[in-house]
Amino acid sequence: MMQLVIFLALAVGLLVLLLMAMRRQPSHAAGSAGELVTAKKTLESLQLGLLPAELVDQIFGERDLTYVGTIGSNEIRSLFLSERKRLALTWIRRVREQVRALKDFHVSRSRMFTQMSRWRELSLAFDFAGLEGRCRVLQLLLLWRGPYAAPGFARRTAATAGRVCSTLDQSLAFLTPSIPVSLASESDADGSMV
Amino acid sequence: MGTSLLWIAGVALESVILLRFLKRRLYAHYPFFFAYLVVVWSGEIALWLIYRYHFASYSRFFWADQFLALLAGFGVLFEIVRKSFQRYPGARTFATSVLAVMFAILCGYFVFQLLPSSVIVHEGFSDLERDFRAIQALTLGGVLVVISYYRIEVGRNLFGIIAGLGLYVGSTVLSHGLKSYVGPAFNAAWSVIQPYTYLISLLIWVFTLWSYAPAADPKIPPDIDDGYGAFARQTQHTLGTLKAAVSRADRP
Repeated sequence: MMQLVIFLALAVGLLVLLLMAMRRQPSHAAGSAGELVTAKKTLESLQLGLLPAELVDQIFGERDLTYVGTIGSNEIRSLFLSERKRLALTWIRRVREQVRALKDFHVSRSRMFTQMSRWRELSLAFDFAGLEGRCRVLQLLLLWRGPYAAPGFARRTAATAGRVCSTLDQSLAFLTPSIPVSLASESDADGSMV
Repeated sequence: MGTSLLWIAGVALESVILLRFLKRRLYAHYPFFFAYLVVVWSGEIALWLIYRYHFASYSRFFWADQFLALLAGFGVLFEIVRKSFQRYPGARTFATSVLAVMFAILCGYFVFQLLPSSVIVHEGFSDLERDFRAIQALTLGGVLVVISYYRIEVGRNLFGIIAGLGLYVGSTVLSHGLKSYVGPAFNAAWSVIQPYTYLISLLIWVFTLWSYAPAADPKIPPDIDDGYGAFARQTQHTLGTLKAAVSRADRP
């Protein structure tokens, strides 16, 4: 029986992979100037706009709910919960979109490198897959049990996304203009940089 | 009668593909696939003659032919990896690793299963074929994962080769699995599934290999620095525009 299950899984898996390969759109570009800039912007929007711990705590922490609770109106409370659920779902959807965009950008570049590191690439592939999986699970939890279903899970998802971002940030570092120390130290009295 | 018709249809479709390969010189682009088809086609013709004039030795020759076709199938896998990742050195590193690991498993299997008991020849060959096909399925699956992950365009020809081979290998593994579980009762279904799936694979090959259709070149040549060069040029252009604007502001 076990043997049958293995062979069935193998055959069905191969046929599913064939179907997936048929459906997938190939990517032609590989690190064009426009793509590099878009990727850098995506990375910044993730790191600065979506992933900061304060923002995640604000959306998934119960501080606001406690405050709304002090008003003592059930109507306001349920309105707040539905709005917060919508906000949390929007957050997770945007994180997923941005992560997918980064993954597409990353693979379109890394497939061209002769000196590509197999292990680093494999670990990134697992990170991307894990992150997408986490995002899906979180999305389902939010839909099923509301915005405060899994605050710890949301924080860990954001932390994983942050880790992936910092790895990718290294490969896009050359797009960040460095400010020479001599210039940086020459600031006005009011703190504005020269 | 039905079996003969399927046989004739199979040989006819193989002949069409081989003729197209010769006419459009596709053998220069896909030599391993061409060799595979020649092995399969000549094997079928030889088997037909043996079946008609020397039936007693048919079984032995049948399994020998299957074994040759199986080995030629691994050549096709090598070709798929070689051609798919030609312009993608990074992805090729990955796919080659998959192929190397699978080849090592195959060699190990060959050494441990075949050499100590050389009497296997035809009686145990059904199991041997199932295991070899399973290794082929795993290899092809691994290559497909790499192609999908790196979103590589393989072109119509190569996609046809992959789809036809994948369908045939997948259905063979499935049939063998069911056969070993259900037993002789599955033989009737087996005699239908196998030839029809093979015919579908042949039809896929006829349509996708009618003429040479390679993958389109990636837009950016496989030198990633070119991307940075274009980006730097864009920055220079923006800087030039800014300088011009500042110059205008300087001279009211």
